[in-house]
Amino acid sequence: MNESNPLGTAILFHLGPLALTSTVLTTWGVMLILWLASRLVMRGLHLQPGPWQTAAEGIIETISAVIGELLTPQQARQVLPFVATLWIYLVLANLVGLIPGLHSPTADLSATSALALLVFLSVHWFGIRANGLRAYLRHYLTPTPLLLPFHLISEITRTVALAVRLFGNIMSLEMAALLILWVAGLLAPVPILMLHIVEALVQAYIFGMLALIYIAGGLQSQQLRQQKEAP
Amino acid sequence: MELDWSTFALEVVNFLILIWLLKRFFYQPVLNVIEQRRGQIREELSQASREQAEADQLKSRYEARLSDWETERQAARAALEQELVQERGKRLRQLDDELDRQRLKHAARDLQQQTQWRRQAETEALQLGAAFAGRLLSTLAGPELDRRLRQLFIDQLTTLPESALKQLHQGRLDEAQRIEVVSALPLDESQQQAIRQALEQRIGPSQGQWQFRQDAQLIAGLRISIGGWLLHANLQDELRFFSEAAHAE
Repeated sequence: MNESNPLGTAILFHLGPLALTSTVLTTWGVMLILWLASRLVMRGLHLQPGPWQTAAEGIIETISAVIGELLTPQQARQVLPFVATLWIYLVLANLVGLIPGLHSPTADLSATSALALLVFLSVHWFGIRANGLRAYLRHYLTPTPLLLPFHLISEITRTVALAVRLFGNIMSLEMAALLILWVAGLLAPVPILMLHIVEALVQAYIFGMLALIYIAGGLQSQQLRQQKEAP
Repeated sequence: MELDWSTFALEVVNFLILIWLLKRFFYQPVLNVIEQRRGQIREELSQASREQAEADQLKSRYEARLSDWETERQAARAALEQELVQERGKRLRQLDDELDRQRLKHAARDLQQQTQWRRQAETEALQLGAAFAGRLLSTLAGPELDRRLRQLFIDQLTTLPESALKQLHQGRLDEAQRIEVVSALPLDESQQQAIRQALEQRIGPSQGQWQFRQDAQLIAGLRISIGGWLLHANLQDELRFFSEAAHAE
């Protein structure tokens, strides 16, 4: 805990060449909570579910239904772990900032960039798995090779936009709450904290939905081309 | 707002680990349970569909059986009604026959009873008439009537057929020792002699004993016994014969 950046992301200690910041520790905490909750809820799975199992099944069924609106059932089953983990993790990570003394991992550009990078890679990973490398790369040349630069720029900018949008919203909320606390007193930031809850859920939904749309675009590009070529 | 590459790399690794953890301990178990439940629901729906089909089949079978039963029931009812009509007609005919027999029997019994009553009434009437006539004749009887009856007896002796005379003659021989003459009024000698002469003229002379005696119950007239034969011309015997003859009829 000997170094800190201006936005409160403190480097707590070094582990070899890696600097462990509060963002990483908070992420580990979130991961631990999710793992323990999973173990706790899934310890007694039955066909006749209890309240916690019902809630867990409801979460997964809802996410599956949303994914199923865009993808085939087989593709949805492949994509579900990534997209569902994004939504669940982002909800928890965004709400961590409400706890005094803790900062949301998503208020750190490094964390949101890492997630955006994973979304970027997953789009290509799922697209190549579904269509093959050549077919997948061919969609950058459609409808005309002239659009290839724009496709490439789009890939980069939408990834950067993902990272910056989430980082900017969550960081600004925490910053606003902190400033109001400094200026107005103890209970003044409460409306801002309530807004933080809504914003955390909305931003998690937007990030996950955009990731799903990008992945679905990569999966369905080849299918659309095949449908057009079909007699 | 600077990018920390260590945090960046650790966040990538952390998220990949989180995906693995949740997939291993959360998504797969829950999805498996959901799939099991869906399979169970599908199985139950399939079972329900099979049972529904079986139930429909059973329902149609039972409806057909009920229809058959209804047809059989109606046929049996019609047969029973026809049998009842036949049995009723048979019983009515038997009852009519029995009634006819009873009617005939009652008619015969009534007729017999009426005949018996009439005969009894006639008998009683005759007895009453005989008694009345006896009392009347007892009042009216006298020597004149007695004489006329004796004369009537003597006259009738002349009209007896030959066969009767032979039998009387035989009786006189068998019982020659006794001829009894019973009269309602005492007979004097001449009267007794007239009677003996009239009898001996018809059946021959008799060596037997003649016995004359009086019996007022004869009212008027006389009675003569010769062996096993009786000759009479008196009111009592006539009245008795009259009533017995009427009764015999």
